[in-house]
Amino acid sequence: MTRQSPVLLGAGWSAQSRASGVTPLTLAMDAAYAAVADAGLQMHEIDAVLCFGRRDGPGPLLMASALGLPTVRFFLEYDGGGYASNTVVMVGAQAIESGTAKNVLVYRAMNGRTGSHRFGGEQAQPIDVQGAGGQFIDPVGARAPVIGFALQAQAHMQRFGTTSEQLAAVAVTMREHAARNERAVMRKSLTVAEHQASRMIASPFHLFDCAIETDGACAVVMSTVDVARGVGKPLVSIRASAVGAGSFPVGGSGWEDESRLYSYYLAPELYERAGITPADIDVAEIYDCFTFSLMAQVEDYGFCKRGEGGPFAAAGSLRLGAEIPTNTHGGLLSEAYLQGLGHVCEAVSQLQGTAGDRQVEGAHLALVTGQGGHMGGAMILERT
Amino acid sequence: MTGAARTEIPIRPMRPVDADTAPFWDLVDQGVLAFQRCAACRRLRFYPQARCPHCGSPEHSWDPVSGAGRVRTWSVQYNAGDPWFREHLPYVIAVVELEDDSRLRMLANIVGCDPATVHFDQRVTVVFEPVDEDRRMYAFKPT
Ligand SMILES: [Zn+2]
Repeated sequence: MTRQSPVLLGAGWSAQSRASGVTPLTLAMDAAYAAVADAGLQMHEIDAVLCFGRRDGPGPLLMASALGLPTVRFFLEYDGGGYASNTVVMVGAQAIESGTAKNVLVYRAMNGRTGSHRFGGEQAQPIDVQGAGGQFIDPVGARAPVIGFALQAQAHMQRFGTTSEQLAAVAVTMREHAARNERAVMRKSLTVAEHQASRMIASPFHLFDCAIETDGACAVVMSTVDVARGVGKPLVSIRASAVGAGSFPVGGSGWEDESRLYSYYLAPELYERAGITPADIDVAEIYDCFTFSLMAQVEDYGFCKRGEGGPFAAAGSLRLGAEIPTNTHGGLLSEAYLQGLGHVCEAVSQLQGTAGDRQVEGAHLALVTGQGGHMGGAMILERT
Repeated sequence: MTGAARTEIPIRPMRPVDADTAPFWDLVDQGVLAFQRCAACRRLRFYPQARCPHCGSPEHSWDPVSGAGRVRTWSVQYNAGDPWFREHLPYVIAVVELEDDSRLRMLANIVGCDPATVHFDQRVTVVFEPVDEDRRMYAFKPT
């Protein structure tokens, strides 16, 4: 087998909404056809199908069959949430690089509002109850993912003096960006005062600190440099990637500082592999399940000093045209809950120069992250 | 769950116990907070599991701890999916660092106080709340 250079060739989306009225399979197919068209390919040319999720959307074999793919050479359904988006793209790239497959489809689809995947509602799926973690979660009322991040945000406030108003600035900026994105579900302007007046969910988080719950899908198509040249697409490659996980952040015995997300450990590794510094990054698509998760990663990925993410966000530094344009699509907080694959799609658009009203001029290097509390994945994408 | 009448009164969600964790929960039901102590490296561990995560040894004893600790971080809940916890809003979830080993931390409820008064480094001690005739659940209250 000849080693191939993988590129991200296209991105596509289904409609994003509060109630799709269709199955996750339909959403996934809509996104897949859009991504394949954007890539300049025909559906029958796809020969690898990868996705991630919590068994809340169609698996790759169902998708391959529904899309009528003649030959699937590699497929993967990765059991994971928002931290997995970059991992799955990375594995898809490795399948191309090794010659296992040529044209790879990666998707994430779910009815995240009307289906089974909810943050804290009664329908929230049980976390793994075996051994560590799971069976010590439900009896203290801690199943909702918001709780872990709330505990971490409170620790960050204690240690660095971060305020709720500073977290509000993150939410406000995401909404400003979403207003420029026709796909975004939440485009109405938001003020710091409205954030402060929104109901408390889990202190220190108000409602507007939390990602929105939506129904939708998105997809990325990857292929080889040769195919990209053939269809006349810009070359967007993975300059570096890193994934990792540590012990449970809260309630276990292995996490020294609850204010740290896993990005604290991951970022140095990513930059070292990429051979660049944070100052080289033109646009950042940072996993924002909560305002705090975005703010803490902005620190960890070196756009400001550790502990200064709050003032940095409040100064407007995450806006389009400012120091580091971040989540130009509006992110999970305002665009749609696509569990991080939406961030990858947006980075592809930015680097291909097709992001319309929210295009970062001359975007050449993009940071994309996925994040759980004690695990994460990240990539630096490059237009070469 | 048996009978329609019981569904009207929410029951605290409790744990599915397995062979790794049964000794821990049995002791909780007796009103004892105890952890595995590795016979080889002597470290306490949580969560319960068959081998020490620090050195790999399967040898251990179950050692009761003082139950004293400090609040490292906390969050007051105003929203709950579970019906029992919905009736107990607002409630506090905290990470408690145990006095017996500062590296040992538990996710637990802080009870017996106004949620607004919970704070960093607050000194707390373990208490046990009845769940039903047989079972108890650990929590911490300010000292
Ligand atoms: Zn040991």
